[in-house]
Amino acid sequence: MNHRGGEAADAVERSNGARSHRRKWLKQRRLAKVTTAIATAAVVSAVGMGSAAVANASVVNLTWWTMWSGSTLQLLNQMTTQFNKTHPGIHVTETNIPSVATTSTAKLLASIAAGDPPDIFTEWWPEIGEFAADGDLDSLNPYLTGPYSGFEKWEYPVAVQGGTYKKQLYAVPMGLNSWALYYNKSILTKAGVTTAPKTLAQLDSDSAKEWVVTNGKIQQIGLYPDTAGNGFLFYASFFNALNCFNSAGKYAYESCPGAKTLMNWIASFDKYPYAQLQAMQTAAGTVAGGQTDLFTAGKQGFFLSGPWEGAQNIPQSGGKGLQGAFGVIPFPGTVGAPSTIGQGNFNIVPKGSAHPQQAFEFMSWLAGYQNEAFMGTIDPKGGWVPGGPSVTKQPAYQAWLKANPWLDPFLPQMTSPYSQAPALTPTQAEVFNAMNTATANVLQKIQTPAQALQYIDQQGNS
Amino acid sequence: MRANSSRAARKTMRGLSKQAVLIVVSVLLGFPLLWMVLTSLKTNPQSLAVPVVWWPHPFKWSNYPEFLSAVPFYRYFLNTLLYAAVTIVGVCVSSSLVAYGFSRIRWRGRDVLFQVMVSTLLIPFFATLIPLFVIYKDLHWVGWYLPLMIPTFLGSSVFSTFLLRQFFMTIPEALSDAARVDGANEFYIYSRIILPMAKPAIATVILFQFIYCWNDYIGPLIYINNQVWYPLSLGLYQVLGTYTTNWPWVMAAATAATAPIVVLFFFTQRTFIEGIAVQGTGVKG
Amino acid sequence: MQATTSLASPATVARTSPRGLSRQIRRRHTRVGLLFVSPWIIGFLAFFVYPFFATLYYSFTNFNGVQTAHVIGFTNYVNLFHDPLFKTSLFNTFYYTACELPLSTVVALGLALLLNMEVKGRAIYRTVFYIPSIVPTVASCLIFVWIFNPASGIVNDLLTGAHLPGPNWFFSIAWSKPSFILLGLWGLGQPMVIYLAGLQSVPREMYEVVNLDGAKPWQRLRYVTLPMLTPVILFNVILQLVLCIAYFTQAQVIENADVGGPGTSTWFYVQYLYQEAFEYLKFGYSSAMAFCLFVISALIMVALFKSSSRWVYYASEQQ
Repeated sequence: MNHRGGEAADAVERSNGARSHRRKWLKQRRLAKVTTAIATAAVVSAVGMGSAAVANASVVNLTWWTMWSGSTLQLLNQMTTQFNKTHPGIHVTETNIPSVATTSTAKLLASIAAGDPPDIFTEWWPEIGEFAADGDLDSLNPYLTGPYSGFEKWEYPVAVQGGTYKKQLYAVPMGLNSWALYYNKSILTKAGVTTAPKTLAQLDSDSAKEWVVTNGKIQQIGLYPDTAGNGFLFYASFFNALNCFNSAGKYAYESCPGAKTLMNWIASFDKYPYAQLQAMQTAAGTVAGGQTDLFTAGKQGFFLSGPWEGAQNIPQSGGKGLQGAFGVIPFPGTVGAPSTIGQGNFNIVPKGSAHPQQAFEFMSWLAGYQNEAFMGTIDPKGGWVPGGPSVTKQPAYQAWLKANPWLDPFLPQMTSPYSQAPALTPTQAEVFNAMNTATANVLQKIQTPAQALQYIDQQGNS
Repeated sequence: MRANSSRAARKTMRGLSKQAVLIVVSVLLGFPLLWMVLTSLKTNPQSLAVPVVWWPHPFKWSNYPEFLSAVPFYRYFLNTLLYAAVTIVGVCVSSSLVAYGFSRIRWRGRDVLFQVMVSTLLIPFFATLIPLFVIYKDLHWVGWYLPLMIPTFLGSSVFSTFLLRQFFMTIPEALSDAARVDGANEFYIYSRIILPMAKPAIATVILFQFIYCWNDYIGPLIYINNQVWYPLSLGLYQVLGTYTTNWPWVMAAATAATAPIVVLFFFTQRTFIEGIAVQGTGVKG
Repeated sequence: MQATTSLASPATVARTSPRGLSRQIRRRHTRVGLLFVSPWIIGFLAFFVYPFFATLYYSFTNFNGVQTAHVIGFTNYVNLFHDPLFKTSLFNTFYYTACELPLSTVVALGLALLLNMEVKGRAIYRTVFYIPSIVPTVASCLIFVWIFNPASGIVNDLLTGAHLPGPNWFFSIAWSKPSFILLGLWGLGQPMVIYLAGLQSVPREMYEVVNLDGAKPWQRLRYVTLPMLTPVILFNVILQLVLCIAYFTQAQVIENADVGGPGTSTWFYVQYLYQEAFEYLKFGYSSAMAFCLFVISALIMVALFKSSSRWVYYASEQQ
């Protein structure tokens, strides 16, 4: 700052200060007025727009947040419209929350913390245990009365198991997943195998015949316990390795015989180039959650997946990669009967929901309870297994099954005594992630099977 | 005569070599974009084909109307414009005032407070999300754009304030002093002298704020509860889909989301890049 | 008088600390300064202070995001120091930062210098160089992953054509971080434009004076352009620092289900923080993580600002 001499400058400053002070105050007040005006306009328009709620006070308004999109979202819209039509006292508004890098959970948690959550939320299933244990969900038991007292019996056992924590029901499935082994018939024939494998040993040898790796480049894949979210956990029920706890109730995969067998079996695939395979899967479209995969591209001989693979993925990909046809067999694991892990897309009622009872009515309706006829027509379109077996007896659903014989293995697995849902615990999500990491580590030879199982236990018991 | 022509020749050579370098860099930076646009015109199986198919045949122009009709595109576009317009006003007004205070007036604690302001950028967004959300909930702002708009009138864009402050500091102090001696108050100097000189910087701030709003998805995702008010960025993620990957759609959506900004940038770049080449009148003695 | 960020030559110091300014005047300066800065102060007090201290408080509790928190002392911090994934993710983030910061500065400045040249079609080149930074994040990640795909991407095709080894890029433990660094270098449009604006703001007469002495372009760059650009360089470096330590979205999108990349090579700090908070509902622990990150990066930032008095040249501080 350049001052021409001390006192004179001071005097100039002081007198300027007094005059300019008032001018500046006026200018700043004008500025403040403008700012307030804009802010007020914004607030008024927000309030005005926000009152889009139904005017009728006797109708219960439910908000439902889902993360679905595309054709699935259209099905959900059909379901919501039908529910609103048949339940005049309840109006469900569905809001689609785009799921970007799984940040939609942050939105839900923030709304629960602030005391203003949606009435229903479609939760990603490994989170249910965490949320239930932390008190973020409303228990549904109070509503299992009257016409709903038979609800849990109506559901598939794995559906009940997958939604219950400490004897309280917290989650109701909208659609269950059933997992079986798809196989590419022409790849199988070309590898010199005439019938689909019936035992694990046959599967291993068939897969080995199908694998073609030339000059370090993968040309064709047989079976690979891949890790795009489908690792150890999804094969666990076939090896009786799903819920391994010790007598103190802690996770104990390390000492569980089924788990050891499964992890060693996974390790037998570590001779195949992991990085190459991940790259190929990504190239096939499994980036950012997509599920166009190497099987629909006709490059993979065996693939563990659910009904959506044949109902949606294969037809939508044009099926051109699938020369010849495909078939589905129950996965030949080490347990006697066919089985599947019981998980799916569950609806939950967040804590603080304004109308939990009506929310439960809607959720059970979505699962198909007292709604069998309608869901019998919707579930085939989505390629879903419903929440309870009676929906599958509906004529529309039966017709779908008959028209697609490859669907045969999926339903009987749901009621098999070997099928289980992953236990709901406060560290369920840690275990889910740990199992995926463990699978990847074993396949990349970063961990031995024993170390991998140790790691899962460590994460689950932390 | 010969000296002239060889100088001219050297000049042409220099000009050509400059072009060559620019073209090479353009190719390096630009061919992923070319792939994006070409893929947006392919069919789904073509986009996944291995070996890679570069040129789509036939050209599936219908990818664009198809994905545009998957979401209420026009409505989302208007929402984004509103979001951008309001926050641009907020940022220009508050950030320029704050930047002036941090650069053109000398007061005790100024630089410490400035560093405090910049350090607020260092706490991860997700860590403070829940307490901040509770504040906005108590103010009844959650559900619409208010948590994203009102703070911009309170200097929330540290980026803009920082940028303007740096630019203000490149203006010689003598200019302000001369005005002060002539009896001007600080607000006068701010609005009549400094702001006009900082037009390129203000234009830059406006452009960046617009682009920020155009692509911002995390703020709207957390605070807006009514689909009707989603901005274009959320619409893009709605289209991407949770269970299907349609690469041509993804690339068409990305191209459509990028194209308007490209046009905007191309036609406005002179304003903020070239602007005023001569800064201040310099100081003699 | 207060110390300012000016070049610390004795003559400058003498002239920038005016003698004889009374306390009244100084107080008025402080009042006016605070008045201009008041919008930010209000916003800071209303929307930053409480969440910041709430996070600090939660780091000493076992808060799960929704229910009341119970204070557990330093347990979270102790667990952090024994957590291998904490160390890994911190290492990954700072590896990325240490590489990206200098590289991005050089590249963005280089691009800006190129675009500052007087050539025909300048506007088009500027636009092309800028576009990568405005492509929506998810799309740019997908594009990059595709181009660098070891199985079917064009980069490896070209490399093998030139008889060079083609690494597994994002799928390789050794090359995954460099792949992310490359992705970061592609989208440098924003700092580049700011450098361009800064270049255009350098007063012409500066160059005229230097040219009279017969300076070469390289000397012009070193003795005129760069010093005049230092305020803008400081700005871009600090902002890049902020972006690097908060690296999240691109990693989440590219890694998809295989979070952390091959091995744990691309587990970035904020990814881990997010997972602990919103997947495992361990807000106490993630708040402790947030605080550790804050302290470390604040130290770096303060060091940068302190050093800036040595290399940043502000015209407003000079005579």
